[in-house]
Amino acid sequence: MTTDDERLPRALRDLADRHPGGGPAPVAELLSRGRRARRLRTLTATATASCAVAVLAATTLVLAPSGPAAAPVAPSTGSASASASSGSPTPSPSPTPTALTAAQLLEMLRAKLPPSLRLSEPWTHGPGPNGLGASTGPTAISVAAAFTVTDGAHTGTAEIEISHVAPGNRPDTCDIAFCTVTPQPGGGSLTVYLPDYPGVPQVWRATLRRPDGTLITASAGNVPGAVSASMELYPNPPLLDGPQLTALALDPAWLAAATGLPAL
Amino acid sequence: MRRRTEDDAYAAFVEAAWHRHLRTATLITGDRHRAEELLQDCLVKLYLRWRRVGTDDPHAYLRRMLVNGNISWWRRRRRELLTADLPDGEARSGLPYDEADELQRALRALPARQRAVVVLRHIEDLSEADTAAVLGCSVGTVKSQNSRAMARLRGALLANQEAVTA
Repeated sequence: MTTDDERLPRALRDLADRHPGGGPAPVAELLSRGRRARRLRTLTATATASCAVAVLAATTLVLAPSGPAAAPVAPSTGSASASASSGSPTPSPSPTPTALTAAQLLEMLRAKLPPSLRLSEPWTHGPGPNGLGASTGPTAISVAAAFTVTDGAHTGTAEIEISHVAPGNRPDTCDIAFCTVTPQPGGGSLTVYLPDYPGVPQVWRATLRRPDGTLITASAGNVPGAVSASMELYPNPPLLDGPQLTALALDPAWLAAATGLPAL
Repeated sequence: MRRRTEDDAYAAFVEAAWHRHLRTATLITGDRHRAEELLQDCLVKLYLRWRRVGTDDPHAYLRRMLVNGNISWWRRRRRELLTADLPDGEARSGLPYDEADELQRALRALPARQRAVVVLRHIEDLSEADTAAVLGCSVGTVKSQNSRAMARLRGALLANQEAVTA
């Protein structure tokens, strides 16, 4: 190595030292911006989760007497061997469903998204070997899977999240702009939130809240995904529209997946 | 409670990381104001992902966001930069030769990816493998980009020094 070869890296380090750090880190401002961005992202999910619990409680009271739980109970005097020898097996308790892994949910989502979209950068959140971390908290437990999607000209994200809502939340309504709530047959509701604020983080959601406390949220956004190298908002609106997100959230395939989630 | 703990951890990280990454961002972007803007944007994104990356290596994650964010921005603004900010390649006759100034001008004149390689390798002191991981490319690409960038910097310094001393 020549003297010149040694001099240049040293000069670069000297150059770096000419750039003082300036003032203190704007921690409060960054926390404020971060919290605002998080609120924007989770506004609908939070409102819907709060609403769901109250309606769930009311629905459970009304429906419980006629539901499966009201089926006749075998006499306590009967033994297991007697039941078996009678030739008419009594319904056995449902086996504990196997917990759905995030990787399985990812594959389900892959199959459900429009074939015209190219999928990349999968990421997951929740239980399973490919999950990035458990998502448990005071209000919900959830599993989620998502992709970066592109139609060749535009890019966005698509995500499915299945949650169980904890009891005890306050009832709420979706009384914000761009948000509608539609009651569903058999109870529950569908909340669709399609905020139209160009140039800001934009996540469109359709959330099905079922009477059993399950939340199924299909969302599409212009915020790069968790594993994306991009850090700029995609300039186009989300690539799944309201009807597509609604169809995705109402897809019965998610119900089977939801039974695998652990109870709160 | 958990959210508060996470916020505390995030705040502590920002306090510790700010000056170090601002220096890196300034060299990568070539502009202090743009560097602060870029760093803040990246830190807000990091906040949103803190639960997922906070326990891993947030410095590496932030560094990657800075580099890639600047490359994306630079691609969009390249035309403006080429007309507005790049040096004219001539020595500043009559002014005392300042190697650091010239080096900074030469650094800014590099393509964003080469500039990132130089900053990561020689200022952040990352290995070739770590630099490749940040940039999402092969070690061979890092080597070739570094070689080209250093040659251009060396050439720019030499040309300027000769012009000044002539």
